Amino acid sequence: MNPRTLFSFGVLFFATIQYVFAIGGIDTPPPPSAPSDITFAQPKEVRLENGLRVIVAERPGLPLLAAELLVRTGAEIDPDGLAGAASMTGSLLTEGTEKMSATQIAVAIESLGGAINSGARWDASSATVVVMSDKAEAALSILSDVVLHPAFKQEEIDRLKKQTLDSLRVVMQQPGALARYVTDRVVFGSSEYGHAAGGTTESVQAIQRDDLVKIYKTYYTPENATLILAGDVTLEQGKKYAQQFFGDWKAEPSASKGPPRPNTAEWKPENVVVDMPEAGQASVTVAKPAIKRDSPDYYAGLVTNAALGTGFVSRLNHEIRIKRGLSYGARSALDSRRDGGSFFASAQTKNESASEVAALLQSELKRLGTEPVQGEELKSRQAVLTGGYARNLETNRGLVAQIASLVTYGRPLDTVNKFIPTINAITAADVSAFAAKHLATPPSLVIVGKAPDFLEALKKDFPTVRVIPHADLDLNRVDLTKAK
Amino acid sequence: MKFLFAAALFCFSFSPALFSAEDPAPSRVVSVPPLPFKHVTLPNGLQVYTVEDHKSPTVAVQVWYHVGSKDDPEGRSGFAHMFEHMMFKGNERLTSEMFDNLTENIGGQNNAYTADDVTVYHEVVPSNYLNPILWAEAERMSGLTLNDQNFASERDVVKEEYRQRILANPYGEFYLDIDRQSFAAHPYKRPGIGSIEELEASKLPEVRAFHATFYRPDNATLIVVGDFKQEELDGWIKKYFGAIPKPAGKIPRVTVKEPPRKQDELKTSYSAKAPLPAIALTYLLPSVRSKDAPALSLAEEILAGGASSRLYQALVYEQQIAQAVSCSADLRADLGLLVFRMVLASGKPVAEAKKSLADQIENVIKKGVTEAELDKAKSRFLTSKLLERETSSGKASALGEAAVMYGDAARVNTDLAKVQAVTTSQIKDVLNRYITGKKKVVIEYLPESMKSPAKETSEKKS
Repeated sequence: MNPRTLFSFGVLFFATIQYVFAIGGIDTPPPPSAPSDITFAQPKEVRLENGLRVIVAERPGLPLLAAELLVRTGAEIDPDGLAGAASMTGSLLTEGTEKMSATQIAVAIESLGGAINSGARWDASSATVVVMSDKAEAALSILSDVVLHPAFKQEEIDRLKKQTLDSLRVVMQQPGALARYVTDRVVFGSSEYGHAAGGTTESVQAIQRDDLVKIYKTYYTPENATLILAGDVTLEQGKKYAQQFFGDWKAEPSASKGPPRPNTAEWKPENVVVDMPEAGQASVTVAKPAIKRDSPDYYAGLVTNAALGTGFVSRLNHEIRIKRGLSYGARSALDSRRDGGSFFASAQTKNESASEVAALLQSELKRLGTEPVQGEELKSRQAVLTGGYARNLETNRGLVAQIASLVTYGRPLDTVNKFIPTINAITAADVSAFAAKHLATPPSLVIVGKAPDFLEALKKDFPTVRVIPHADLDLNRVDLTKAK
Repeated sequence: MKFLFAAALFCFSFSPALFSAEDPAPSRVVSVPPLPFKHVTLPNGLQVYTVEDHKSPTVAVQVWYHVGSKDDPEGRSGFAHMFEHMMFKGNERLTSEMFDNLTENIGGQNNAYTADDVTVYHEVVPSNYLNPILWAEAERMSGLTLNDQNFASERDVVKEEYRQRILANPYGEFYLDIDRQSFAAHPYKRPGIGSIEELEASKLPEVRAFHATFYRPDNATLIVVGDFKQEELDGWIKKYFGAIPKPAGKIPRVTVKEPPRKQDELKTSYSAKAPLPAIALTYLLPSVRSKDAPALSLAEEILAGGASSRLYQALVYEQQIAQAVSCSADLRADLGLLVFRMVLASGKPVAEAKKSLADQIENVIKKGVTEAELDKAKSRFLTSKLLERETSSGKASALGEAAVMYGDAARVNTDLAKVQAVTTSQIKDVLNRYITGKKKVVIEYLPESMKSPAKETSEKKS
């Protein structure tokens, strides 16, 4: 017998009774009680003689330790035509040292129950381990070996190149992932952040061992690095570990990446469509250059962004998801880096509604300047930021990541406990000022999707659109189009 | 009057959890602190599990409903999941955005997920908001007020979720194929995310009926972990959840039995989006409540957990035949699936990849695993459990899984010792039990260019 017949719709519909009582006899939510304050373990620091900065956040409780060896240089130093070189340098750390093969490293760390990861992002490279604290010495010894003595074996370079090329083939078929690459180019142009941090098909093939060794020798120095430990560890122990495992790291002349490489042309907004005929959805983004991480406007920018596109109640999700059902989720981000930054808003939607979503993203960005974020809305957006911050810092990994970000951008360590009061001190006027100063002029538009489904409608709101066929897209070039 | 219960009727039956040595600790003791939970059953049937923990001023609240995608009505795959979205639309008192006001807007978070067997609503809030969030969860358990407008717009959101997860993902259809092709009769074969057509076909009265059928206190489990005072919490639970009447009538359950497989099967499909071929190989497994579960989860870890695992080392690292490989012992309430999955490296023949995977499986079945491999798997497993317990929400999830999926909340503490006690011969035994002589289903998901040999040749030339 088919069990489905047990609950055929007809029967159930008539059986449905809407309950009429109020839960607990009350019609509105009961009020909250008094809030508690949150304080995080204040990170402490020492410096080794070779210049290595060591930061320890003592958090006893669970027998766990998270560690990160951070290098304050990342994908922004990729040489011309070699996009992905810094990322590959970072990834290769765990793929073999002078003493251990890639397999031996994996077996060693995983036998401890831990995991090791390495790589590069914008402005930083890192190697991280998470392990039970009684295994700290063994794990830190592996971390030290991969950072101090990587082998950069040709065989491993070839293997990583093949894997990277295959993953790029998959990325190129995803409208959302591809849109992020295109957006970086549209916002940052020829500047140091305009290329693909993970590399392109052409650049990955062009990278040679010497390029990687040169990046390693130049930037992986104790002066340019920081060891961060959080969890079941004391400052005294942390210092001992640092000396034991990183004390022999030889100081080199301090590396400097030189002045930032600015965009060669003055930025102006443009509307770019990448036509991907088999796209199952369109990815729509509006974006423009924004502030650096050390800008005094940074915290006002975070609150502005939270109002626009963080969470279900943000303006974007209210208009795009809740009111119109146009997307599973819209979001915005303030992506502030050492020498530049971007502000973007994006959503994925069915191809036919791409132009409607593009117009909504643009009008919501504009509305930040005309309808102030104030009163309850401001309060709620501050809570989104402070609550999310506190949840991220609940884990040792999260705390290490937050400290790593402060170190990357040269911010003081007491920011860990100042974030919440600083966000809470932002006023409606601060947000309005941020919007007026940084978001008033039109953004660029990037859509990756099936162009024939939306192009005609799009041209009504955006008359000037550059359409790039997927097959002609070239992320290596500032104009994004393959040379004819 | 009906929500005023006499104290005597409101019978809290505390059953203190057992942590002590059921199994003697094996060779190496790794200390995962036990979760000291309390359990009560309300007169209306609601199961309540709580853990008081003042590590941070937040509290995690989860409501697990014992209904999932396997309960999707006929011709309505994706319904349980779409219903989950409708639970955020509220009722006359709990207005549409109020749930977010009580979570996101005060620095908390809320979300939900629908699995094959359960639908879980979860929140983390600053602890001073525990009282209102309990009220809100009880409100939506008591009933929803929906209209054509909020139903239609939320259904559109779910359709976009389908497009984002399945259509915009080069391997989205492949993931759906695995269940679709692996089960012959059990509703696990139907995609939990549904299809555009069946989502379109659903109607508002069906949503109301689904709530009345499944969203009742005797079909739910409430978990609260974090910063609260037990007495105060018990009072709120009694006041809000205790007020919900227990409906008459039985809750319908899936009774379909998956038949044993009679033959090996090969299912091949083609995709215009997939740049590289993907292959899955599946065998049927027992229920999540099987005594083989601990050995199966360690076998999965040995085969494909981490870069030192067998399949990663052989197929990705040494032979470079796969771009990615995974193995999961996907255990569900009624039965499970052992799934091997790989995305091939470019230029590698599908037949060769299948042969390499088969060789690896044959090798482990015949020769078993080493003590070192088993120790490594146990360490990784225990570390992951410890990491899960860094947060209140992680603890709540672990407790919910034990209470609802395993049917025994105490297993949140006792399973760790069970895993520690697994031997190499048990690993070999379980793999043999579910693979040797059993029928397999192979799912191939290939780039469209592989459809016609002529086209493939011409592409190679260009």
